[in-house]
Amino acid sequence: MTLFVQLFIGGIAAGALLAPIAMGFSLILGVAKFWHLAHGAVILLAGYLAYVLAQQLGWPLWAVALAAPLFAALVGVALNAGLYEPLRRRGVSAIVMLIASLGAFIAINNALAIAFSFDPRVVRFELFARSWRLGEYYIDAIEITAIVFAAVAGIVTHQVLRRTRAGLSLRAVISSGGMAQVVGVDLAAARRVAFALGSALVGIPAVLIVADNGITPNAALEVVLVAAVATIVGGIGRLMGAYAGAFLVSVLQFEAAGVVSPQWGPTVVFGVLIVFILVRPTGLFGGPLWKSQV
Amino acid sequence: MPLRSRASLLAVVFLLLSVACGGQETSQAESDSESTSRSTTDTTGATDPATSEPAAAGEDATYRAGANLCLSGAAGELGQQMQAGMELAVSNLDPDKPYGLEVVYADSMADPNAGVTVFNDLVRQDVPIVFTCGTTVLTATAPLAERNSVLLLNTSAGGPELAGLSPWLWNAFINTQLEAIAMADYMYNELGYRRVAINLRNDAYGVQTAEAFTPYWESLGGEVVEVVEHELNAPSQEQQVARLAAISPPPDTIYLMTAGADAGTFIREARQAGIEAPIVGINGVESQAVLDIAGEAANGVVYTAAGFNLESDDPITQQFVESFEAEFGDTEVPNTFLVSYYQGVLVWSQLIDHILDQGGEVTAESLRDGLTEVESFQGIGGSEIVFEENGTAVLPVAIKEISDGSFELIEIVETE
Repeated sequence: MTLFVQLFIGGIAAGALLAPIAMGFSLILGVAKFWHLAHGAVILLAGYLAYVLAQQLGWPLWAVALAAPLFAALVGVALNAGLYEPLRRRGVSAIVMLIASLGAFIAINNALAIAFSFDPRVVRFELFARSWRLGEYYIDAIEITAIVFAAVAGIVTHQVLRRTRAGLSLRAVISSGGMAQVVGVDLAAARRVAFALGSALVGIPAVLIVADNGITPNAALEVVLVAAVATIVGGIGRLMGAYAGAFLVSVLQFEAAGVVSPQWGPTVVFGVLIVFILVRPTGLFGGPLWKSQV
Repeated sequence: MPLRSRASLLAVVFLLLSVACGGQETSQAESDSESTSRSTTDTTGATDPATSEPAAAGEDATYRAGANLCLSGAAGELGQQMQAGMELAVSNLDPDKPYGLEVVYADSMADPNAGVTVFNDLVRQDVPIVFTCGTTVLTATAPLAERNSVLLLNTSAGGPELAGLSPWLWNAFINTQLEAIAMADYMYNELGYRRVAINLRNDAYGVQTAEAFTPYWESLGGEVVEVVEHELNAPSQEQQVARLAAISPPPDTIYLMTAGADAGTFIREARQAGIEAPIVGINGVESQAVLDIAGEAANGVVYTAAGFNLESDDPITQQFVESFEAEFGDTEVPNTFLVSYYQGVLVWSQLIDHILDQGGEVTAESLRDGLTEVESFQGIGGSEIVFEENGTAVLPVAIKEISDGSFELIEIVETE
């Protein structure tokens, strides 16, 4: 029982790290209508920026925590403006956009490998050096930070989408891009906002990855794939669904990997994906595909 | 849901799974980049590489070797240490010898695909012996070595699967199975441990090390209380930590059969979780990644590594130490792989001496046969290197400890 509960705690913490990433991925998917795999490259770039700022330039944690989301947002907007919008103007399909996104991810991944090698780049922040025990169970500062940030990110994102004009526009585009355009929503502007907000959400998780076991060029591939699984499990177009899906798949992955063997972690995650595709493709919280509401 | 939408979703899922599988395979091959290679030549003699030929006994000649090293990529820094060791050894060659040595260096990036390309290029340059870095490159090129009758000399990979892999692959580096035996003796007799938990990397490196350790440990009277495993380059080992933390009563020690970042990740997370049991490991623990990731948590980790006693007063060791300090300064500590490749060149040179003494011709076959004809080779630290019939040398093992960011020697033990 002790093992099961400890794995559950670890799964929740891992889910908390993944949830903002999955929300950002789902937001961009819902607004831009294609699978933005280069979301992983944004994580890497934000992480390596955090490493450079903290380790090489000596910036304090609070400054790094401000810079990383801002930089991630800029990268997201730049990717949209420099790669996706030109392709969109040529009328390419969503599959072509996905392939272009994958190409961008691989190119950035390899460029970072050339610049930083494959050695893990770690920053030791004093704040994250602690851990606590509660009876037989333990949790460390990075896990607590991830949980707190996930809660804040979830609440803020939800409120932005509910109560701001930009948020309403995003929801309208997620629900139906054509109808949103009819009522005057600027689709290109909505995509810019989606890329900015969706990318900014990965900034803090990227910093936590650097502070935990370090970042490598290979760090983001599995993260973005699991984020995609969480998006499908939660329901495409449902940001809170992706949020919940991140926790669900992370807990399942932890329990399977810890109780049975590590190979069962990915097996369970992608097994759940296949089950949902076949049985409930709209996800846990989904309505009709491509027409869900936040 | 419309059939077209579901089909599109399935297509996307298939693409995602393909990317995931490709990423994992690449990760296991220790490279994430396109396979490329480049060749550089380091010449010590005046002979044009394109025209040099094996010499008959008594004539001055330049003998050539290939070096299929990981000069860039994930293990690039180690590969450069290996090259430095070889260059130092070649420059230290006794000038009275009737031959010179020349090494053709090439970069495999520790990638088996690139390593095969490099090996084939070296074969075209008619080198009879190739020093090779990386277990995956060795396993990939071993069949080619057999096909082309080229001797592969391993002086850096300790993978248990390399022993007896090919009649043309000879291992002059400590094998992790021998390390495990040495560590078992040390833990049982010196440290007094009896109950061990194992965390092994789920590949030949970890699995075969555990297979060598466990029966020997139990024959001493010890007990293995738990075995957990992790995948190569796992981003986290919290699941494994949770299982080990749940052991009651706690084990006397946790034996880490893994390397590099994976070792660092586990050490850090174990200490964060409050696991106080001492941690021991194998040669892969001696890594900058362990220090970077685990930091102070790595202090006190005891591990085995290739044993080079640089305090020995034998002429070979003294020459190495003096030349190393002249080249790199007296504050630098020789990297294990630098020393191992230096020693590898010594073995190569002693093989040539043996063949010439017998009036023979230096070829790949005569080099290979010489490995067992020579009773023992003189190595660094006053050690005598003896090759067994399975192609693996019996070498001393160092017991070392991580202390405040450095790797401190505790003792050298001879293995059988």
